[in-house]
Amino acid sequence: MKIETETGKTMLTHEQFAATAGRVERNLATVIRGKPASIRLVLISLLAGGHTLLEDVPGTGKTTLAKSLAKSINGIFRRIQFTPDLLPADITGSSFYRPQDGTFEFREGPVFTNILLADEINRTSPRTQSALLEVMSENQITIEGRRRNLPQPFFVVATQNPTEFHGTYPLPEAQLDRFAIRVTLGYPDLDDEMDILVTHNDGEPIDSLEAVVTCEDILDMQALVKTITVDRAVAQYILKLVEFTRADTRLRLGISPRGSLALYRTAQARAAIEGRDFVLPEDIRALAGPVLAHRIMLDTKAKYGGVQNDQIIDEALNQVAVPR
Amino acid sequence: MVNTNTATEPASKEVVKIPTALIFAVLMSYFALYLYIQANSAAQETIFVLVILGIALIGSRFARFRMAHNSRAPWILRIVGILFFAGNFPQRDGSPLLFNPAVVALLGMIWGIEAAIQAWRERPWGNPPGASLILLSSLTFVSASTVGEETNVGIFGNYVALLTPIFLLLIVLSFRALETSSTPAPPAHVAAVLRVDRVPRRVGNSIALVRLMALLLAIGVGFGCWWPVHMYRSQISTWGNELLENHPAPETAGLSSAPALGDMFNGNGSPTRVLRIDNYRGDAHLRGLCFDTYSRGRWLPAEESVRYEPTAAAAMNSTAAGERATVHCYVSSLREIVAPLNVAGIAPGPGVEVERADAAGLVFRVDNAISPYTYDLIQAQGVANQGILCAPISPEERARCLNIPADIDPKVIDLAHKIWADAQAKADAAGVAITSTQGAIPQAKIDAVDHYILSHYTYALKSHPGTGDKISNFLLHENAGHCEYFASSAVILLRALGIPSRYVTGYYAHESQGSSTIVRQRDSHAWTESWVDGIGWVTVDMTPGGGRPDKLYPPTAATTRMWEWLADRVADAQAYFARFTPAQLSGGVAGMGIAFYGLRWLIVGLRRRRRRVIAPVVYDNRAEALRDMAVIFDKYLADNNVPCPPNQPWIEHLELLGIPTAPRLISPVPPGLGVRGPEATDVATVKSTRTIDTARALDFVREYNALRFRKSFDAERAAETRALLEELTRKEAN
Repeated sequence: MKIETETGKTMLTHEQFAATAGRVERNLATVIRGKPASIRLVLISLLAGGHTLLEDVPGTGKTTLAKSLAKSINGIFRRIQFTPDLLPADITGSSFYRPQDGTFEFREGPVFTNILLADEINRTSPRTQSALLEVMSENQITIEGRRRNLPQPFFVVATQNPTEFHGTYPLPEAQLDRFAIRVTLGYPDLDDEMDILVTHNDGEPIDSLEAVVTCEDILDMQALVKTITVDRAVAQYILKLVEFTRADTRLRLGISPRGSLALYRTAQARAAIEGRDFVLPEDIRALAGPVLAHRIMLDTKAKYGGVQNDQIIDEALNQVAVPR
Repeated sequence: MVNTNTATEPASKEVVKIPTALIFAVLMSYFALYLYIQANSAAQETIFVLVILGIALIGSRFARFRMAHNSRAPWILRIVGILFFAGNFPQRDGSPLLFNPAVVALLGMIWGIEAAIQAWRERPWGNPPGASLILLSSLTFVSASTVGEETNVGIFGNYVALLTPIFLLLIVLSFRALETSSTPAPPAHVAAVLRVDRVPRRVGNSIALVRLMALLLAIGVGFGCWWPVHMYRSQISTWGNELLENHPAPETAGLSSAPALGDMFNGNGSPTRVLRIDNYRGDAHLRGLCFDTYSRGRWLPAEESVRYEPTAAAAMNSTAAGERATVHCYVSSLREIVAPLNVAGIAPGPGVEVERADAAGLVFRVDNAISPYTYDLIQAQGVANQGILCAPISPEERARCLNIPADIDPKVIDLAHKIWADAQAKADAAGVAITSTQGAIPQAKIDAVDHYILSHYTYALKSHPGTGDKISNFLLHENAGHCEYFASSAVILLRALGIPSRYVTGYYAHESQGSSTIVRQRDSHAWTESWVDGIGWVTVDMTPGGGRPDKLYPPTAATTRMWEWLADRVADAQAYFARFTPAQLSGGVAGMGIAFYGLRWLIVGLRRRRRRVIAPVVYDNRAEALRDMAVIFDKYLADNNVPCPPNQPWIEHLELLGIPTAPRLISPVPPGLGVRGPEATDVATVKSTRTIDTARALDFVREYNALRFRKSFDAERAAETRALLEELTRKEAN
């Protein structure tokens, strides 16, 4: 039951929002077992209109997560496996010459999709990386002078292996900034892994996954997220956290305005998932780590002195006063 | 949080044990060093350090503490150890340093200290310090077995044939226990399943075999290098001596003891630096030796025949007032003290003993010249004063200084008279009367001779001595010569005119460097001193200007001057540090190190402490009502001994108190975020508080949040919330 607003567009209610989000989460949980927090983070970034970076070792279910998300929202799923010889045209698409007509035909690249899994994004050259990142930030592609819109919603899940650096082009911090949230799945608990083995016995559970929401619903939810109230004190709390990172001498780069905006939006999304129409400081605190930790750049001395990014964010949370 | 693969992390932080055989090997090397020190009585008090090291090594087997891998403690221990022994470092007295027992013992101690430090360091990859300890103990053992000419072999030396194989055997035995160092420990979950804690026996044996072969190869190579050197040591030392002999000897500098008029003067123009005089503003002529007897082309008395007697500083007027110029002499073959004629006093530097001779003029000489030595020249104001070098002329000296030797051609005397007569005639013709004030006539005579010589003779480094007497030949037949000729001629001519004169050699100071004057060997010069009645001794230099040392040679190369300047600074630094004993220096360095690290630690600590200041709680609400409620609730929590820290929201704080929140509308803080407030309490510490009604508190907090952070302020709801709060606090008051 949607509500008519003044402009005539139908809007979801908050209860509907929470219910829908819960449906998606439960749907995903049947495939990805034992990781409710990670699933929620991915959903938050989808609803906030951002993209996700999955840092994980191989075999933990990154592809499965992206695929099942696409299936849940009845959207298109495409996957790019990045290799060092990949070219930007392989991502965006290019024109082919048709000799019989004498014309050029544009063949869309894999980026024209709802959910894109960019696997091992750190294994390709910076030129190809920047092609994808440009697409992510602009939501449209201009090829040969013609602008082509990407399907909505457009959501990128990029993955990288955090331990192997041999032969990789690690994403610099300036480009990691374009990912709203960094999530890890990690190995499941032994009980959950037992469940996985059992359910896979009878066939892939992802094959039996049904869609629980449509793409239009997702777009409506994204629109609702933008209306969640953020009190001025809470926004100042975000800015104080960001200011802390900018003033810290151990950091070469603090959080950019893109980062504070990402934290703002994802906090709204989290509040909406929990059925509230206002953002609490608890939302900010819960999301500070996943949203901010990958955006800061440590000084050389701090990096080799054993300081971790999460440690800086923890200190920021410890030292900034919370609005009451 | 990122999950890193545990297999690539360093293995457990368990304490790594050194194999027993290796410990015994190191202890044995300590023992060998002890015997060496005993036998050579080199720094006996350091033996107790060996005992401490041995105990430390054994203690590392049982203790669980290890120094962190990147800590600075090992460096501090090393520096303390080196400084401790620095005072025992022997002075350089010419003996070969490498076989001096004190130095060898010191090196052995340094290896021993390092071995003990390595035993106590953390090994993050789980391997004992095998290679380091083997190397260090071997070095200690080798130090103890060093035999030089001055070494007393002692007990160890007698049994070295027995002890060395035992030492090697202990090292070989330790190979079996030193397992592989290249493969990392398997991850914990793999290790638990496979129970892998050591490499299979087969692999261990082959590794030990490889290491044994490496050891034997090293021994073979070492022996192969040592044996030929030992066999041919006599040939090697002979060859070395020959090499040293063929090296061109350093140039000699100094003043000739009995200068002979030769055909070349100072032929090579050696730029060897002889003197450096600081703050010198006196006459350029620095006289060294005086001669008053001329015989067969040579000025006498020769320095060797003159008797020198030691003199006290008082006799040199060393406490006179006036400007002091410090002379540094770098050439030990120059023993004469060179000074301008009008010097008021001479103050010898520390450790310099002076002797004097009065044979032909007053000459001072340094008795025990070890360069560089210093002395001060004291110059009083006034140009024409007569200093300590200008003793009044005695009758015998007057006679000697007026004597014209028989060698001289009589025509020379005629020439002298002619010069004076011409000068007088000229003065009469010009209508200038030569006044008869004191010393005016001798001065006029000197001027006349000077004028004549300058206009009739030129300077040349090479001259033809001709036959017969050299001075006569120069004055009558030649017209070019060097400064010796000019000076000698001046002496003879002036004597012929009745002015007592003597021949003086010394240096001509002209080269300045900053405020210092540098005198080089090529600046050596000869001139005349004359006695003028009424004035005293005066310096007379009749060498043409183009023949004085400042014009003869090109300026010194800049590189030479730079090297000299550098050497001077090094000498200054050495002199400065020689004032302190080694103990004082070690203490100074240690003190500076402690001050530096202490300050740094303080500053970092202060900065860190300052950063812990948390900003106060933000209360600025839109409505007074909300602010009041917030204050009351905070006070309520504080009164119940569970104050909420400023950086934590209430809900998190209440959750951390261990009370579950239900129903879970708020998802928990993701694991790994590790939100820790500085006063985060857990359930155990809350025992001492009055239990608060957390369910009601949570209800209140939720209602409050809905009021506080919503877009519109609902006044009715605010009243309800206020009632809720009052009920909560009232309940506690009961």
